[in-house]
Amino acid sequence: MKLRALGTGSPFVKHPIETASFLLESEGSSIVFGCGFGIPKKLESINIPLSRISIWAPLNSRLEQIGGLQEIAFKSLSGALEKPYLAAPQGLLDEITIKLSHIDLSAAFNLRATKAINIQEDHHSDETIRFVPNYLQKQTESYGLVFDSCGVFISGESALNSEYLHRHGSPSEIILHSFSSIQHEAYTASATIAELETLPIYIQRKIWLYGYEKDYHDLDVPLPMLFLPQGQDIYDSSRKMKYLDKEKFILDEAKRVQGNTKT
Amino acid sequence: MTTNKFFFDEDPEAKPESKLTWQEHADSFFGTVKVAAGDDGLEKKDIEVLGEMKTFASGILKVEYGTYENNYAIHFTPHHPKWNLKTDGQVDNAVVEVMKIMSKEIPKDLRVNVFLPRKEWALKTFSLVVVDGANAWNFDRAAMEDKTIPECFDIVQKEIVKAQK
Repeated sequence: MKLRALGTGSPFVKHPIETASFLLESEGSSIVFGCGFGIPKKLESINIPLSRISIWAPLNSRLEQIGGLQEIAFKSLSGALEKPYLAAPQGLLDEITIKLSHIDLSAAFNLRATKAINIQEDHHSDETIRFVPNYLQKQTESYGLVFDSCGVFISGESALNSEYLHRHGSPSEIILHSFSSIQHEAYTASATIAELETLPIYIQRKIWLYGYEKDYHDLDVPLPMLFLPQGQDIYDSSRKMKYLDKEKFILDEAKRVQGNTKT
Repeated sequence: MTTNKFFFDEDPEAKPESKLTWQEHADSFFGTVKVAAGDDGLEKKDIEVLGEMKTFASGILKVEYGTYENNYAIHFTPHHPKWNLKTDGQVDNAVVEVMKIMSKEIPKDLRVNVFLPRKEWALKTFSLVVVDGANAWNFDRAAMEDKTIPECFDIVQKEIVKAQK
């Protein structure tokens, strides 16, 4: 079982970074959490055909989470793709149905209202992925994800809520938290880096940040939090070192930078 | 059983177009049993290996109960096709009686999935799964095991005896 960051950018991010999306690959099934406009193209660019994805699971009904579903829906309706599952809690499915009202979603997808997805593997322990409501906006359905066996917690697009982080983040090995550099009352955004820096250090040590802009390399790294690199495996059950490790990541980055500067 | 390697926990607010199909419900249940008991379904030795399920039985009924992952499961299995719940109505009566007793012990915020027997099964076994019941702070598992399950056991036995008449 492997969890990979397909996209790690903000809702308005530009190429080559993609909007936040995560791919879970297991024996016999693959799930994509979050499907922005660029995600179908991104999947094909890393040699994963859309037909391999069994379940599409958005975390909220903003376009950066559901924009790419149009392509999947039309391919499914035309018969180019076997009808995949679209799985999310019922309230979120309702919001998506309204936003994509020009598409007959129930014809394009097998809609499933679900609070958790259980994955079975022959060679590894079973995994339960739970949708947990987060704090994007009161009137909006928005969810984070808890991977019970892997020990990964994805906050989803969420304002800072330390109770939410402690409850789901403390038992987890890795926390992926979104942040937002755009703050305006007209736009309900994620927590800021300054807010996240107020968290206890032991929580910060687990946090990888996503939701950044293309120029994130220019930002100061808010250690001990790090920016989650796009395309990176966050968890891989087949490896000895299963989790994305911060120390190893820093060493590898240092080597890469050194290599680049050698003449 | 389909070849799917994933199962959904249905949202209680699901609408008709987004509900699980009967087959998916069955897959989900048998997926759980498969993990607990091996490919054959209900091999007792495998259940014991799991270590968290307890069993007690009389001449006509067996109850297995305990935690499985985050859930708390209770399985009622008649011992013999002759001493059995013979019709759907009799099964329904037994389940309703059990639920009446259990609803006093199970907190209102925990969801209970009820798995009824299939028509073709010789033994009309049925199960109740308290979702997230393994760790819920407000669910008294000791009281459940000491008091509620024995009460339910008696009720189901009586229903089985009634079904013979």
